[in-house]
Amino acid sequence: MIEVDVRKKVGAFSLDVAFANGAGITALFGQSGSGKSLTLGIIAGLMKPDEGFVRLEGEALVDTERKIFVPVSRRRIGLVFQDSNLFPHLSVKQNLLYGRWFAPRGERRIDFDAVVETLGIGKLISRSPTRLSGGERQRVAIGRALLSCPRLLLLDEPLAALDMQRKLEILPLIERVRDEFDVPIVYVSHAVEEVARLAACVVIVDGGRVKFVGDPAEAFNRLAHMPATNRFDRSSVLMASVDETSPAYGLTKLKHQSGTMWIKGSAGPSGSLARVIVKATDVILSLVPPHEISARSVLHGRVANIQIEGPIATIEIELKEDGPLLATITKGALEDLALKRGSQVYALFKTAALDERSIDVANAWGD
Amino acid sequence: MMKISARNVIDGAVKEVKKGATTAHVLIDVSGATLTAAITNESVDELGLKPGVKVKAVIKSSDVMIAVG
Repeated sequence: MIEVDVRKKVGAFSLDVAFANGAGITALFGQSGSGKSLTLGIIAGLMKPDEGFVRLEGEALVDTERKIFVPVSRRRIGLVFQDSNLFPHLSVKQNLLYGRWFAPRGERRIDFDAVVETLGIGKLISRSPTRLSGGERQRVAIGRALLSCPRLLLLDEPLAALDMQRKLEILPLIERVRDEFDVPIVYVSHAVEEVARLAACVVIVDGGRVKFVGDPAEAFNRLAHMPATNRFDRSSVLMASVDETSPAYGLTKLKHQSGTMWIKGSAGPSGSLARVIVKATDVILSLVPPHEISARSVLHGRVANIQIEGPIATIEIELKEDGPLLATITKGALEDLALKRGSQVYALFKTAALDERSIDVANAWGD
Repeated sequence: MMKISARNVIDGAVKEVKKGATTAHVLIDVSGATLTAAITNESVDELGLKPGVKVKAVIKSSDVMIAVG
């Protein structure tokens, strides 16, 4: 259990955030300058809050009222940043063992071999970090942080500097770390796809304030309705079950109460639940069942709400047994199709446009 | 053409189909200019796309970038 309730002024910026989470990954989500990294710095002990407390399993790491401040070196928190910060003069193995050195002897509960195995870094162990790729360096950095047997792992945009292929390789490893080593994780990111896939609890931070604390599906629905949200950040989180795979085409068909979706790759055996994030700007609406078109995913629903901002309209489509699906279309299209509340529509989107980071078998939400 | 929200519907003819692992790139000739669509291999087969087939390219206006000059 992590509990944060802190206030701090830095120049003209004022931070005032409070949240708590038990199991799984807590994601701090927000744009740059929102205060998420400052919050992380306070949790890590890199800076002191003006007022407030941070508690880990009930124990205060900082509490201004009780005049408690545990220094960074004694907090036992593992940190991983965007840049892996490995020691270039040490080998991968020495870097990993350096982390281990910070764990008190009696508390070295995380096994060296298990970490190396989980992160798939066995072959790198005698190499110099200078000869690793960006993705490999991040794996080693996560391993080093884990081997310090931390009471909390703080990951600050760990994938931000990597290309999409590397992101897709490391995301499942973070999931394995979450599932196999019993360490709470706070994950800072501004990538909707990563946060929705990994987190059990999303804390949306904006302008130094917490706007929302709760599960990812609700968080992104809420985010879509915030006026400050850029339309390219509007996404819907959909749940569907695996129907069949089409190995010849490398596709998986998902069954949704309101229609069919196709995703790239595999999402587990038939019947498993999968979660898909669909960007609102990727959705096209049709009044009739679409046919002879390459877009493969079609969901049928009812217009529940229309939000117009200048030339753009965001349409909220009510689906059966799932959160709403959002579509941003032009006001011209809205008028052409004469959409209003209650209209029946078919929402279609391209399989090739779905971000692979955002597709996952649904086991990540702490259940 | 059915009534859909996408604002850009452009007539063209398939020039070339390049299949990848799951995604195919379909090059469409639009009066001399070329549009590329990334769609699944399965859609290529289902729509029977091959050079010469007449198609309509559908593009949401939020996906269009503009460069001046």
